[in-house]
Amino acid sequence: MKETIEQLKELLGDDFNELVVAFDQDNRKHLSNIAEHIKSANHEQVAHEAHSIKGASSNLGAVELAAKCEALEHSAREGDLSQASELLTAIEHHFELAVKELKSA
Amino acid sequence: MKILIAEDNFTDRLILRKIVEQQGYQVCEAENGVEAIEVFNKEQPDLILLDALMPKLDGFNVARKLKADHPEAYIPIIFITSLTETESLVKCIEAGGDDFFTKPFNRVILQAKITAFKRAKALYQTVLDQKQEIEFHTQHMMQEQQIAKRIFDNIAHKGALGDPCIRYSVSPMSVFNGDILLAAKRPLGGMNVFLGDFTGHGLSASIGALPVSDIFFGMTAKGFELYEIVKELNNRLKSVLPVGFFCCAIAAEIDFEDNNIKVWNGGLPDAYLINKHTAEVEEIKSNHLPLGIIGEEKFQAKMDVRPFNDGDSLFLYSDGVIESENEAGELFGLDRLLVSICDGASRGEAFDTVTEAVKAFRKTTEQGDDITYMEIKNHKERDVQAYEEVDEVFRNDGPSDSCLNMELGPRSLKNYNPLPSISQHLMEIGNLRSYRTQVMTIITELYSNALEHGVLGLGSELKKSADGFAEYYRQREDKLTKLEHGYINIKVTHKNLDSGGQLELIFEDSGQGFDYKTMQDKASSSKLSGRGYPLVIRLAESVEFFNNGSSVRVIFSWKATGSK
Repeated sequence: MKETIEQLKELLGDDFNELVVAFDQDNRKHLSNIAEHIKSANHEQVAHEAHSIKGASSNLGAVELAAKCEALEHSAREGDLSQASELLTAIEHHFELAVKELKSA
Repeated sequence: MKILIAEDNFTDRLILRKIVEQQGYQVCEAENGVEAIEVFNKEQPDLILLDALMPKLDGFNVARKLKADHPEAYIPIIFITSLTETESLVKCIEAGGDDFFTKPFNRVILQAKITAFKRAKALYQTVLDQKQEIEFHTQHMMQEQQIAKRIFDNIAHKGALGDPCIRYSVSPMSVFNGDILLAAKRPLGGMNVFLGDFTGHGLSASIGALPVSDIFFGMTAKGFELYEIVKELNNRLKSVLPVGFFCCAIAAEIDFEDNNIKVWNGGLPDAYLINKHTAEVEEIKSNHLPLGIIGEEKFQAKMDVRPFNDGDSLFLYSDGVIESENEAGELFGLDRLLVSICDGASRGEAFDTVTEAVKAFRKTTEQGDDITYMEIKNHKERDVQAYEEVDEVFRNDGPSDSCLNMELGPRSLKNYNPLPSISQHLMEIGNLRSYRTQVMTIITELYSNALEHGVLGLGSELKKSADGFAEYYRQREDKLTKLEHGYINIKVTHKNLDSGGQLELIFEDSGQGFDYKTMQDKASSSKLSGRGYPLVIRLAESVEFFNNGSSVRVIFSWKATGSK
């Protein structure tokens, strides 16, 4: 992740901070959306939100986070929400790690 | 270059924008599909980076709509997808996507793709510009051809193609296919026809058509023989056409009175002589080189003389007929042509059967406009050329009292035709030019009588049967070649009278004369018809014979009926 962050800082310059803030806020919103959609068993929306986090995190080099999101997106798309809560916990964990790393960069 | 980035995720959009801006391109952005279309219409970007999954309207629908709304424009669309969406790549292509770009973003790959599309777009623009330029030039060329055709039509007018004895098919733009079809009435009442096929196509092929029609019409009207016209055509085309260009041609002279036809075929497909009564179809092969290839000294203008009786017809065509294609790309071919000619031969409908056969064969294929063919028929019931009454004011320009005396010795008689120069002199006389046909008929008859029956001593019995004409013609050639003694003296005197004039023609030859009294009796007792002296007697004011008939004096008078 470090290498990707360095490249992004180089590419974005001053806008890197804006990226960090946006990543934090946008995805925090997606995460709370996922939690609600799991409760209401709306698997399509779960997949959609997970897809969004996956794309953004892969672009920041957050490989673990992206992988967990993909797992959730995949099972949700199949209509399977049995592992969703566990996966969401893992995603939230990796998300905090990623935000921490971005902010300290 | 301007690039539209349509991506709902802010962080992804930000990264994409930075990558594109780094390359020096302008960026416009949209957060969803509906906005993407709005921004596209407003900003007219050159390329679109389009996220496949977006709220409101997804990328597939955006792509479909843009391609449908702008079918002519070149709008490259690069779909942004995640690797897991591989299964939907087909969907992207079907929606009109040109390429894919996957997350996580690779800056170098995206920049390379954009550069490639920029090049493709420049190429597309070049092709578009060239297409417009070609369209402009094509239109320009069509206009020029139309102008050229108008000029051409004035020079190569239809002539006698409208005569009831002729049926013909020729494309309106055939002149630019290199085909030329001409027909002119001879001053004596016969007909000259010409079918030419120049090498090549387009304007270059049609240029030779101008001198051809000029010479053909001019020389026919002045009373030149067909072989002289063909010789002159060859000379002119030899000097005018570039090396490698020539004109395959058939020239034919039809004599409706003496029931024979003279044909010269240089390089065109066989002409067909159709005998209506026996339904036989006889071919007249090309036995000469096309016009414009060899010089005067080696050129052969010898005519093929055949009988041509009432109901017979001559069928001429250029190779466009047998080369016309059907939908399957097959050629019409010689066999089909011959079958259709033979089919119509006994009914005298060869032109119609050929026309129907070609039409049925080609069905809907509208190619090969250069289909030129004609049929000339000997109709006995056909109207004998009416000598139109001339209504013209009196003119006394040109010579008003003149005398022309010409004596031709044996060597001149072999290869010189004095009639065109006599005609040229006479046609300068005031109102006389209105009577060109009558005067030309008289002097042509007088001259051929003096030469053939006088100097050469040929009997006229042979000419009475159509089959005998070929023999008559052969003997004439033979005797003319061997001629060592003899002369024809021509004296043309004229004077102007009140609102008109009088022409005196004296033809004297070295021959034995003939039984003119019997001829005069027959002419006065029976119907005045046919050629030769009966025709002269009908047209002239008076005809007197001297020296046993070897000398004749003819008076022709004219009046300008509309004189003041």
